[in-house]
Amino acid sequence: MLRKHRNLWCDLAFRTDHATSGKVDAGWRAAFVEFPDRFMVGTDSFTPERWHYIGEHADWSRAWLADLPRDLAERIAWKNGESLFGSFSQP
Amino acid sequence: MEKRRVAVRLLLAALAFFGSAQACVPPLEGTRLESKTLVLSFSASPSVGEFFTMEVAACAKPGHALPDELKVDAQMPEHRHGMNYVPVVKRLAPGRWRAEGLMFHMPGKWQMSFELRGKGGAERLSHSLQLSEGFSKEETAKIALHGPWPPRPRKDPSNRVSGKPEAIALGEKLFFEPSLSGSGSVLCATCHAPFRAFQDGRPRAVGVAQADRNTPSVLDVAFSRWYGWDGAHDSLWSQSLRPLLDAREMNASAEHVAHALRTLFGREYEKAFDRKPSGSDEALLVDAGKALAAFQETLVSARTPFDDFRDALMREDRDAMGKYSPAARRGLRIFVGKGNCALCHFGPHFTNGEFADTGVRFFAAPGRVDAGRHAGIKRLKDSRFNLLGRYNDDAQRASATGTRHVEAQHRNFGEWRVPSLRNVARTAPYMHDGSLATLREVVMHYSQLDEERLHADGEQILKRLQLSADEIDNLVEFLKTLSAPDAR
Repeated sequence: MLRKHRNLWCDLAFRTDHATSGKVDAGWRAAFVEFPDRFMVGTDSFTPERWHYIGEHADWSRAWLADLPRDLAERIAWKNGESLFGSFSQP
Repeated sequence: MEKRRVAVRLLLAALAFFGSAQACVPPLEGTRLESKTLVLSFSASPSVGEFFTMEVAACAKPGHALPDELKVDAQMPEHRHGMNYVPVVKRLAPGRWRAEGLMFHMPGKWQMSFELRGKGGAERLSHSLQLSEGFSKEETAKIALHGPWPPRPRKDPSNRVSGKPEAIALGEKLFFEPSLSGSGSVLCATCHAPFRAFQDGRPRAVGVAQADRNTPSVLDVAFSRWYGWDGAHDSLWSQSLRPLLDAREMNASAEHVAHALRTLFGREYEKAFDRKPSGSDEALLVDAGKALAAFQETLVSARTPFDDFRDALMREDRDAMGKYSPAARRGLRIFVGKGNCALCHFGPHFTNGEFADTGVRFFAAPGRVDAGRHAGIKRLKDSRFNLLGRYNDDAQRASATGTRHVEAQHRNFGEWRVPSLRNVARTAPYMHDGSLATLREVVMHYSQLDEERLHADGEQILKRLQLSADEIDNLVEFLKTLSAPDAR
C-alpha cells in the first residue's frame, strides 16, 4: 500500500509487533528502510488513564529506535511527524 | 387470486394428510389427534420450568356433535406424577380453546391428555412428548468443558514442601498468625476470612492501611498460572510473600518473618523442611511462603449446583437435571451462547488464567493510575522470587517457561486477571478495585459496556451485550449456582 499510495503515512500506535525487547523485527526493518519518510511514532490516549502511559510508551519506543541507524530513528521518532504536520500547517 | 391459491394449497394438504377417512379439519395448525367422533389439533411450545399456553381446536366428524368442554392435563408416567400447576382452559369460540398456566417442571416424557365433553358424551385423547432440557449438542459440549469438579490435586514442582502434611500444618498456623505482620495485628485471614470464602467483602483490602485492590478469594488458588490481579507473581509461594512485605498489608520484613519462624515455630519448621530454621532471613521468608502455599493448595471449593447439573447433563440423568432452576438454565445458555462469557471464563475454573481489559476504570486515586498487567509483568521480571530465580525448587526450571517468555505490551496497560467465577456470589464486591457492588452490576457492566474504553490492540473480544432485564436476571441466577450453598 505504501508503494501504491504516495500520500499514505503510518503512525505506529496500532502495532507492537515491530519490535520485541528493543529489537526491530526484520520485516519491519525492511519496511522502515524502504520508506524512511512514511512512519512515525505515535500513541493513543482514548481513556483518561491512557495519558499516564505516554511516558512509558516513549521509553519503549526509544528502546527499539536505538536498534535502527540514527538518521532513520530520528526520522521515525520526530522528523517525519514534524515534516508531515508542518506541511499541513502551510497556508 | 392469491387467496384462492392458498385455499387450494390448504385443501390439497388436508387431503394428503387426512386421506379419505378424514371427515373434518380443525381450525388450527398443530399436532393432530383423532377419535371416532372428532379431530383435535393443538399447538404449544413448552420448555422446562416455564409457564406456557396451549391453543386447542376440535371439529366433529359427520353425524357427531362438537364438544362444548375441554380439560387438559399432563402426567409423567415414568415418575408417576403430574404437573405442579392446574391449567385454566378458556373457550374462545365453538370448538376453540386456550389452556393457560401449564408448566412441565422437569425434562422427560410427558403424557398429555385431552378430555372433551359434549352432548355426545366424553372423548379422551392423549399424546406423548419428550421434553429435553433444551440444550443443543453444541451448547452441551460447551457446558461439558466447565467440569468435572473438583479437579485432581497437583503438586507445585517449584515448592519442595507442596502437598507435605507437616508443611500444610505449619502453613495453616502461619495463615492465622498475627505475629507475622510488622504490627503484630494483621494475619493472612484478616483479608482472607474463611467464613467469607477467604476474602474480606470490602471493595479494597485493608491491612495495616488500605490498599488499591480488591481482595481475591484464595479458594482454588493452587490451580492458577499467574497470581495477583496484575500477575506479578508466578507461583503461589512467591505471591504469599507479597502481602507479608507490602507496607499497606502486613508490613513485615524478611528479618521479622524469619525471627517469628525461629522463635515461635522452630519445631513445626523442622518437621516441614527437615532442617532447623537456621538459614538466612530471606531463605526463611521464602520457606514461610512455601508453607503458606502448601496450606492454601488444600483450599478447594466444594461442588456447586452447577456441577451437579453439568454432570447430570453428561450422563443424561433427567431427574437430577430437573433440580436445576429454569432461570439458571436460561442464564447458562446466555453464558455459553449470546454472552460468550465462557470465552474468558473458561473451563472447570471459569477462567482462562490470563488478563483482559474489560473497560473498568483503573485510577487507584485521582491522578494515580494502577497500570495492572503492564506493571505486573515488569515486577515479575524484576523479582528475585520469580521462578527463574534461585528459590525455585524445580531444578529443570520447566515451571519457569512462562516467566522466561512473557513480555509487557501496550495492550497490557489496564489489563486485569480474569477471575474464577467459582463462589462468585460469595465474593462481592467485584472487579480489581471492588468498584461494582453486586453481581447484577457486573452483568450490567457487560450489558452496557463502553466499547470506546477498550484498547485497540489485538482482537476485540468484548462487545456490548445489550441484555434484556429478564436475561440479566437469568445470568445472575446462573452465576449464583457457581457457589456451593455451604461453601467454606
